[in-house]
Amino acid sequence: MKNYAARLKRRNLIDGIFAAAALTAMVVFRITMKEAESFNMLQGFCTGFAVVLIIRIIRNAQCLHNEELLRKKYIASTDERTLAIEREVSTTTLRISMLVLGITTVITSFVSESTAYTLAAVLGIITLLQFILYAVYNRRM
Amino acid sequence: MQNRIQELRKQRRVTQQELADALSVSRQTIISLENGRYNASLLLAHRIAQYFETTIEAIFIFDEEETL
Repeated sequence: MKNYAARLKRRNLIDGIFAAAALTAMVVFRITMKEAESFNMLQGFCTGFAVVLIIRIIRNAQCLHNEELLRKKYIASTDERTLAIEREVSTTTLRISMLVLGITTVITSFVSESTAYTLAAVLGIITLLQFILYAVYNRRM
Repeated sequence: MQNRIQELRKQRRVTQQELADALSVSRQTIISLENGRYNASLLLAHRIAQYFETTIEAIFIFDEEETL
């Protein structure tokens, strides 16, 4: 549990750095890109990113000051059944996504060649990534 | 894979929540284990055996047909 508390503290520190970076970026964008079209989108992205991180920091800080909350969070994040469900969901999602991408690529090739090439490239990158990660975990385990 | 977790837990008059707390897992995990819907990892099986002061083989009944 002490290791988990230390991990939460470290995560909070990293989140704090990213939140500060997002808020700084927002100020920089406000100064430099006043008239640009992409300003609103970038500002929205930075604000959303910072808000999510700040909420996470507050939640983690609450857990760090309350033993019961910390224990609950620890169980929620290390419960092996939950982790097994997450692994299963990820695998199934990837399989379905690749199947849908494959079918969509074939169908799209009749309509737009460039879109079909883009989808095929995405499918290729995912497959390549899968091979690389398989090799990495094959060595680790 | 069958197991005797529910039987041992009831013998000791321990609630699912108490067992879950002692093993640092969720109550839902205990429910799934008892119903046979989820098989514990070796690590959790070891912790369960330690909790009930017995061996893994005494709690988990390996069904050979599952491997066929």
